[in-house]
Amino acid sequence: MGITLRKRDYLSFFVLVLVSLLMLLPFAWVLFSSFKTYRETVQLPIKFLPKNFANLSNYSDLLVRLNFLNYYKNNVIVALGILVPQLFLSSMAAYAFARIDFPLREPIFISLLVALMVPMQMILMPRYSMMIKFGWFDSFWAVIIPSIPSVTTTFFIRQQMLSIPMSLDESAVIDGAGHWRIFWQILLPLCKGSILAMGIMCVVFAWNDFLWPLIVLNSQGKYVLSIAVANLQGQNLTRDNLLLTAAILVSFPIVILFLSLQKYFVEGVAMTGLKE
Amino acid sequence: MNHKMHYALFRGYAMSSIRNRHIRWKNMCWALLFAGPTVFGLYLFFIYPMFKSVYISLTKWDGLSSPQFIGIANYVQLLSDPTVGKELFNTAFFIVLLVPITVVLALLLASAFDKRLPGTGFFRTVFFLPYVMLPVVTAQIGMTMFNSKFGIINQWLAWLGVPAVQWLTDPWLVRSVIVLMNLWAGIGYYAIILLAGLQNIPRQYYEACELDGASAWRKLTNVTVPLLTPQLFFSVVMATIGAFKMFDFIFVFGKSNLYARESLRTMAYGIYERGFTFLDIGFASAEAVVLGAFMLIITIAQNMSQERWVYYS
Repeated sequence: MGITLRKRDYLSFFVLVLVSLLMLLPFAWVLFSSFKTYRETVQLPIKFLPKNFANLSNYSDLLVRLNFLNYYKNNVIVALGILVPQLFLSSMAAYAFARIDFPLREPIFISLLVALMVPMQMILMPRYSMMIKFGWFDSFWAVIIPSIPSVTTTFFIRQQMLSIPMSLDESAVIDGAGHWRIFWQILLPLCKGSILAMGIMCVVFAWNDFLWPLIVLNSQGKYVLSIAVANLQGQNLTRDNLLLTAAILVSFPIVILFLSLQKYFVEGVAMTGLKE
Repeated sequence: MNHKMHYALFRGYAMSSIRNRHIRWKNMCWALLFAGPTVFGLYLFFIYPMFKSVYISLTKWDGLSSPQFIGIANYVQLLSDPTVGKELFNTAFFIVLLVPITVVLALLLASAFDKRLPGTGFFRTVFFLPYVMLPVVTAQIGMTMFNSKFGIINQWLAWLGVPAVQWLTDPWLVRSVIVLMNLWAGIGYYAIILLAGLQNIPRQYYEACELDGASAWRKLTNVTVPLLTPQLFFSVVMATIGAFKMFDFIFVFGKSNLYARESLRTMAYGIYERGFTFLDIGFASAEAVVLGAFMLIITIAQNMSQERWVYYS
């Protein structure tokens, strides 16, 4: 490879390295600030590096005193509560739209695409009053249930199912299989790719979502991480060291998920973009 | 009966013997069982609230008492409200600035990735990483870095002899900070999308260009851009929608900073504030309907222009 490099390629490489460093700069700022004491964050001149890299008091402060362990638990409940039913129900719906003939199938499917275009802001208020009517306000139900049905997940699993040859179903029918067995034993295992990609998207969305939980969760014990981290920012006094430590704690799981499943992650994102 | 027919019957195609009607009936039950929950949920939580919003926008409602029908009064008020005007301006500003810059920079980045230089995998990860961060966190990182007193940016500028810059209170500077943080967060994503398109362009086209002695600019305009239009189109749509919905950044920047809030407020933020802080839900819904209509129009317009200028090979 090195032999084929041309002069211009060296230049692009050099520029890439420089810009990458710039991209990493905010991460470094966050990481280093998480080891600072409050004094260090307000003492001029501001230093980029902390005095003591072994100062973990911000972390223990957040996790124990400021209840972040509890918010972690809430986030996991919400994320799993959305993920499992969404993947299950969406792939079932995908099967129906890909493989079962029923009246009005196409019009119904197209009408669902409307849901894809609706901006969250437009459905915020009616949904909010619906949650109150259902008695779900200030409970995880309000965060979980409305986020379970998903057009994108249904759509992409259906796409993959359509690419699987019908002859597989045909031979299964000859062997006496019904819809459930075709779905569960034949098509679902073959759709692993899109299910995994959509699953990752779903977790990231649930983990990062801010606006909707902000509206339907009220009591502090039920906050999710995104709200908890926004609340660290006070009207008067904001402790940057705690704020930036929280930034690490909050994004850590998603970053790990991204780094370990990068291929599927990028695939899912490239297909849909993060829903917001 | 051959197996194709057997299968067709199973799926509910075909004629009207009693047996077939039975199969059709059975299939409908299966369809209801399989698709029912998702379809019902989407109608209940997305499509019905959308229409409900249109109705609420024609009422005066504080969320507690019952809504009072007042016709298009909210829309009339919308037109004359200077704050809404500011929100419209800011939303448009972010779209006009962010969409082209994002796409152009992402294209440059993608073509650098496409050269398959050593370490490309690492660079891709680095540029994509900010995209997976919580928007709330991204905003807070930007806010602390650009803090005029305790931020590291001003500290470094001070070393260069630059006096403290009021990043977070000056209306134009704070908007630039938002643009910058959005670029930081989004550019890797669009680069990955464009890269997928670039990798599909056959090398021979470029080789042919080189034989003809075409310049790099001509290669870009005559080969790359035309063959990349589907991905460019997708990026423009996604970036526009993202800019339309910008909320988390504004919320975080404005939470403890009145100046920033007033100079940054977007429509998405205004809807939240009117609906949930001031409980003027009818008015907020009217603004939400306008935002939704804008997004719909732009999506449709972009889809129509797609037919004109997008080249699918």
